[in-house]
Amino acid sequence: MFASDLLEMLYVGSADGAITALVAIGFSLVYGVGGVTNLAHGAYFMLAGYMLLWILTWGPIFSELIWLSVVIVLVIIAFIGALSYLVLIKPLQNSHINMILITFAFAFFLELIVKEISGTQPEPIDQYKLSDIIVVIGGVSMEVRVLLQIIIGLITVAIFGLFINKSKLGKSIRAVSQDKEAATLMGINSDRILLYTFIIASFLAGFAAYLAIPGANLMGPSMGWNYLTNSMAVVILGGLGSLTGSVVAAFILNYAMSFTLVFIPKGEIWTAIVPMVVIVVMLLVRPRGIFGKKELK
Amino acid sequence: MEVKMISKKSIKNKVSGTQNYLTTWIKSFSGSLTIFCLIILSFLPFFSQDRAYVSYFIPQFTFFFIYAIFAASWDIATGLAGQANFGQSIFFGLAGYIGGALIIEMGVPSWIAIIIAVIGATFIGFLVGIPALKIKGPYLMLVTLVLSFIILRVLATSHSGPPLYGYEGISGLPKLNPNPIIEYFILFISLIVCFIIMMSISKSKLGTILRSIRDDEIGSEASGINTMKYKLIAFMLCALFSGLAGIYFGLHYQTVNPAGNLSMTISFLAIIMAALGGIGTIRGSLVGAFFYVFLEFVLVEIGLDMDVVHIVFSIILLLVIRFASRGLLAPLLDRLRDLWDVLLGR
Amino acid sequence: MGVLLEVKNLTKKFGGLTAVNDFSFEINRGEFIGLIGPNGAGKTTIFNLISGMEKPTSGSIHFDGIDISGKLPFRIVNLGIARTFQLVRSFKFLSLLDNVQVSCLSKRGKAASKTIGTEAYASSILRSVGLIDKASVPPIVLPHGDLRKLQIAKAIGSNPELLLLDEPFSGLSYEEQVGITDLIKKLHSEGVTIFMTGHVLRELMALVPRVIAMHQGKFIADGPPSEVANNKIVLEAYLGKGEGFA
Repeated sequence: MFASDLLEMLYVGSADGAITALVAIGFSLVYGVGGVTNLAHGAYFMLAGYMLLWILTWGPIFSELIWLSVVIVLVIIAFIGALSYLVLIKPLQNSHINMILITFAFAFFLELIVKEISGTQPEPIDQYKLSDIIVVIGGVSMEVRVLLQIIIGLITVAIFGLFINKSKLGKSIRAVSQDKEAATLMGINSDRILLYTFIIASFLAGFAAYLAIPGANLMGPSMGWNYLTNSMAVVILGGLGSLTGSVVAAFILNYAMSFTLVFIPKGEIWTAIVPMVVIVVMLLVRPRGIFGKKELK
Repeated sequence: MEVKMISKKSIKNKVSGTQNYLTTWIKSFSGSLTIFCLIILSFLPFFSQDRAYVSYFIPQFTFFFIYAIFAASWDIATGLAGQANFGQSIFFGLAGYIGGALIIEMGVPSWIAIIIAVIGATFIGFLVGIPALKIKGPYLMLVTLVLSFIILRVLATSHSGPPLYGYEGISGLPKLNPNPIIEYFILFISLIVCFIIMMSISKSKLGTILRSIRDDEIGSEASGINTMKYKLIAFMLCALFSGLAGIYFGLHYQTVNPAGNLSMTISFLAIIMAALGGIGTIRGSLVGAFFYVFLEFVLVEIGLDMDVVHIVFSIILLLVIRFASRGLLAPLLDRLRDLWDVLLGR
Repeated sequence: MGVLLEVKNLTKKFGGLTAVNDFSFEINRGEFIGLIGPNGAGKTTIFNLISGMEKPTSGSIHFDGIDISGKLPFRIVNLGIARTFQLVRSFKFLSLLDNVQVSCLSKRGKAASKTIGTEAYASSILRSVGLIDKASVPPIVLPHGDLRKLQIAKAIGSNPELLLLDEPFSGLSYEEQVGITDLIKKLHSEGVTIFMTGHVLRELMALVPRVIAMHQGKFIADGPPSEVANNKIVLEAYLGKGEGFA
């Protein structure tokens, strides 16, 4: 009984952990490179999920050519990420408070648009999923699509790690995040790097939505705030500027949440509090995070 | 003896100083405009006895009064002290819950419930502000945002009935006063009192200190200011006034629930009204709240759905922050003031 | 007289880099001292440690007999140490009067302005630094020399016993330097102990009766300018960097 509960906890926690890691990496990247606390980051995830729903129910062409639909959605969400930087954030870079306010307003705007189109009720995407198979391991029934989601999620993170450490663009991104002025002196256009960062971040959020949502439920237009909240907790727990930190923190956070859900009475209410507890405890005990090299400023 | 004389003299000076201040203020542009608006608002409820006028049009102004207090309270923490606060709905909503629960569960008279709700909100502001004692920069904003979202989720997923009241919240609250005109005046006077207090804070030395923290926190600390203490004070003041607005709001609707009193939309309202009027000005919130209520009224009248109205406002907010960070109305007021000076031959 | 500031075995490490290494010195009440060293010697770090902006890795700082190492910056100001910054900082949306008034509203500033009120006190400070005509304008419109004066005005608003001036001459024209020099001399004559840095030595050496020299975080010399200027290690430190005295 206890063993299967534990397995259940690991299953749920890993599934959410992989997704949270993908979303949080992007949030952390944008904060690290441009100092932008992008409150619309969760909304990218939410919007990508709903766009999948819309495009799959739009016409038979799209529900037949799944890969085309997915590519279209990812391109659009990356485009929206780029636009939100170019049109909204870049012109306000000298006023921190206005920059934050406009990302909040944008997140709210996206939420309201989705709410107007699809309403607030949870909606399933069942036209398509990664896999239909359900296996039973150790008394816990697991969906293969969720196991795939964990594996593909981790592979994506690994590819991203290679990209940021080995590729030329990745090195430029790291240079700007470590010392913007020095990078500029070396001829790196930091504005352009930040633009690429936004594109990568929104793409990763969209990709996470593609992994997580088909076969599961869209939890309503306000679900973006959930992912934003968790991303913040992950960045604070794992430490800024540490990819490993973000991934480990994403899994710790989601194990803590699934632990609460499985083992604590009325857990479904209290899971929501876990990110808050993590944030406050970490800020008071170790503000630079578990793996962090520097404090958030 | 000498001390006594000095103090008497200084009091006299102060009194005549206030008188002088008042006379110059009334003659000034903003003073005249304020007096003009106050007179209009005082007579507004008596222009017509029409049922629709009294029970539909007049309550729009009670919203204006509540929202103006609410938006200005947000401006104290964010505009004055520079602590971007996205958890405005926490104070607003929880004050409503505290007051509502006291009235429903314990039969406490409304006015006592209001006082306790405001004290409770201020205490919550203190608790939320505590992280500010330790941390700098964007952390506080993260804490407020995350906390407001979590409180909403916890209350919305809880079981109905005490202590958390679930998705339905608390209903069956008494009106502040069954007569809309008396309710109008209670809120009108509350608005005046709150604004006098908030404007004095903004102009006082406390206001100067809060602005110094906004402009340069390290510099303020290096000037010998206990920035943590003042950030906490800013949060508590913000919570106090938004708590008052929140309990008034709950009593006006006679119900308090997560969707109506604690959602992101509530925080969004405070932000858009303050931004419309001009962030950091406090009194801009008055203009912003009026503009909001007026435009909402018009949009609903022409048959738009409330969600569409919010979309319109979110677009307005994007445009205002992007293109007119002084607010829409401060530049407009400048024009009016120039006109006024010309008319008076200055 | 007596010792006002006592720094003992002060060390500050940033990761692998040791910015300040086992540094000790004393400052007596009423002294006028310069801290010299090439760029990157660790002067600003010493100021940051004394004013509480950074916490020391080890060692101690005593002010007037009280241990202040690792205390919060505003508490240190309230004990009587004020500072200016190498890069000017000001409250950009406040008037000059309010810029100065902020520090007059600190604990010591309030005590000093008890009889006349903080506003009049701030005005008198602005008058003494020569910025009273511009009391109502925000700092963005000021030329650089006036901004430097404002830095000092903001620092003395808290009525310090010890004033730390970080590179008060940097970026100033000769005339502006003279103005600031006179101001600093006046403050010293009013009884404020002054501890200032500079990496170009000429002005500093002409101004102060005693200098402490440091290089790569380490103490190298302490004495009258003429002596320190001829110290072999000091010369090496500067010439090695190719800076010289000219």
